[in-house]
Amino acid sequence: MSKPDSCPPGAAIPPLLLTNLLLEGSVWFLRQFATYVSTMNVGVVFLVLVVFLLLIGFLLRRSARLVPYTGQILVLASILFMAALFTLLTHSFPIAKGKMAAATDAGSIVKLWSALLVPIAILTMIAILKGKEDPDEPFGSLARVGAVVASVVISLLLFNFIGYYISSALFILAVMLLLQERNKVLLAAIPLGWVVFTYLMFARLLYVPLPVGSLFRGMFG
Amino acid sequence: MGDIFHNLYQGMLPLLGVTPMIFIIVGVISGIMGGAIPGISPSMAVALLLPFTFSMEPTMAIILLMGCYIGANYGGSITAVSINTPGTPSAAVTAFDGYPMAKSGRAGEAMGISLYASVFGGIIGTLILIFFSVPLAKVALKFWPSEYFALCVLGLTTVATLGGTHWQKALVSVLFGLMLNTIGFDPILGVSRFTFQITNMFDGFSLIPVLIGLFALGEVFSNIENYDPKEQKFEKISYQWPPVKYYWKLRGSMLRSSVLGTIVGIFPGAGGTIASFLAYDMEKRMSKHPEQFGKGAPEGVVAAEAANSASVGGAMVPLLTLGIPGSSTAAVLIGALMIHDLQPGPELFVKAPEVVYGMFVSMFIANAFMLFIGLWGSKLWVRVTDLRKSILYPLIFTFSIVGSYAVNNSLFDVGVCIAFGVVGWLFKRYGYPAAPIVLGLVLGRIAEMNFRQAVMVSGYRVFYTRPLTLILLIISVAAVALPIVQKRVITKRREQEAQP
Repeated sequence: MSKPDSCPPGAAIPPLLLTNLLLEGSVWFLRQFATYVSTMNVGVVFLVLVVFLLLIGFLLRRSARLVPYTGQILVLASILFMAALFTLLTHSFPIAKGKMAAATDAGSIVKLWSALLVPIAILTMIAILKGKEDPDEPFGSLARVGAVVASVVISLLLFNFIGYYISSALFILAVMLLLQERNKVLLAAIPLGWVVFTYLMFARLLYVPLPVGSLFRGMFG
Repeated sequence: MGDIFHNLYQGMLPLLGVTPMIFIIVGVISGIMGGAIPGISPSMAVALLLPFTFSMEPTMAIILLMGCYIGANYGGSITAVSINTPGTPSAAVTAFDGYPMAKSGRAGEAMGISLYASVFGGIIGTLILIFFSVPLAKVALKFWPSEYFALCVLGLTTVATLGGTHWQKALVSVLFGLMLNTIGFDPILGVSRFTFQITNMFDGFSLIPVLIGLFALGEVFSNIENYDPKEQKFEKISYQWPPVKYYWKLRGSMLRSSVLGTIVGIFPGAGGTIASFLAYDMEKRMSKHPEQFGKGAPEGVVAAEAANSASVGGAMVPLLTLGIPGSSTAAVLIGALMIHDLQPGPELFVKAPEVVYGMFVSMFIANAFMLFIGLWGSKLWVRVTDLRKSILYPLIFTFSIVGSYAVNNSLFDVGVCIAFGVVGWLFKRYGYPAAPIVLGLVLGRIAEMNFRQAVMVSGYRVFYTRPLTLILLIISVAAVALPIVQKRVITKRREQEAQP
């Protein structure tokens, strides 16, 4: 980053050298920034994505023409965000040495896919703007989907504590109730039947060690 | 030619025991039942069965999954004919004429046609697979990395072309899959890419949890969103089977649709759905009574089912010869082969001929069993629809969870499965197809390895100096450009014709 030797002291820096300096500076900055991002927590990156999507969603609300396509555009924006992030992070990769390795490095293919994604995303947006795509479907019961996702996540978190068998039985019961199953015999028989089936099939026949849970390990050793 | 028969004989020997036969029967039955349940596609049925094969011999695992694949492709037609609810996407075409036949009291006729056409199509597809894949694999062994890369590009672009009017979204999905595939250690220099220091991601995403998530959970999330507690079951039907000689009248349609279905199946990403649509369209154009199509024409059911089943054999051609899946179910089978340390591609014929030829023979046996199982269990299959959705959906969830956990005994994989379930649901919801993601994931690694090897050896000029590479790349560009240009020309012509 120091001034080149070819430039005498006190003289103005030639434009070509200045351009080179700026270019090198930008590359240096990009590498530093990419390295910093690559060490970030994935949760923070996800949060940035959410903020980015909220911003896009907010902007879309101003266009009556694009509002019916909000979901489709947000999916596209998420993929573009991922491509931009990955392309940025390629600048944090170690520079390959040697003539053969320099021809293609770990980031080559990432840049190629990202470069292809840009024109295709533009074409998708054109199709949306021209009304060639169907508008987003109206939402069904998002609350039910959310409740099922929450049940899965809770069931997973309980795996290590109460073990797979009880946690999966509770999960089946919860989802059956969410789907408004009211037959008490079925509500009892299906989770129980599933536990017996998985134990015989996976634990006994296929030797898949499903988590028993710290609670039972503590109780029974 | 003699080699093929000798190898087929060798491939048949390990299948002569009781255990392999049981595996094939279990595969076919689970496939038929899975296919008959609306919401379970063949790829989903095979993916759900996959965890059971982890501890099996590779040949046994593959014959079980092939039996399931073949059975599921037929199973989808059962509910398509009986209750106008295609069990699989490819059976949607079967419903066009099958359901009107059932409504007019010809349910048995439609079900019988569907079964016989499926078996016939499956056998024709397998025959073409055997005689086409062996010579193609010999040629493929001489390919350079640049040609493999160009082939991968061709496979990826074909998907986009067959995405129909939403080809842009299919391409977005493919590139999403390709980008996902770059996560983990780079295959040549070992650089850690986009892992954010999460050790579970160093090897990238395991294919099976992603597949189960995208296909099984994505579909279930979608069904749960539109769930109506009042629509728990479907109405029942009764029927009678026609005599065997009745099917002889339909031999021409069966043969034509089977050959077309196999050819379509060979194109990566095409699969049974497109094969069914194309065969249906062909039969309608060739029929003396095209007006009867859609109102209960037996040829319509024949076309859809024969092409759909024949596409299975077709889809296996690129899988075995080039390592490129011809359908989303074939992509799941690639995962199954990889789990057993078998790399799909031409070398499979050299390294594990017993698996390849065992698979060929098992496809014949599975089709034969399907005929008997279909005839014997026809009334039972329809009862699959008696299963309440409030039981089915939680069971699919738990199956998916235990299946994705069993791959590496890892809770991280279960999390991946659920995350991709949400991705699959959102993609489905907003019209982005999920199958190209899988194709991107599967082909991504092969494409990257060959791209970089080609560049390291000969530089970027290899892509325009090697004739075969250049031709394949030109075909790839044409595969995307031609349908778009064609569509524009037709639209302009129509506009001109509409003007006075």
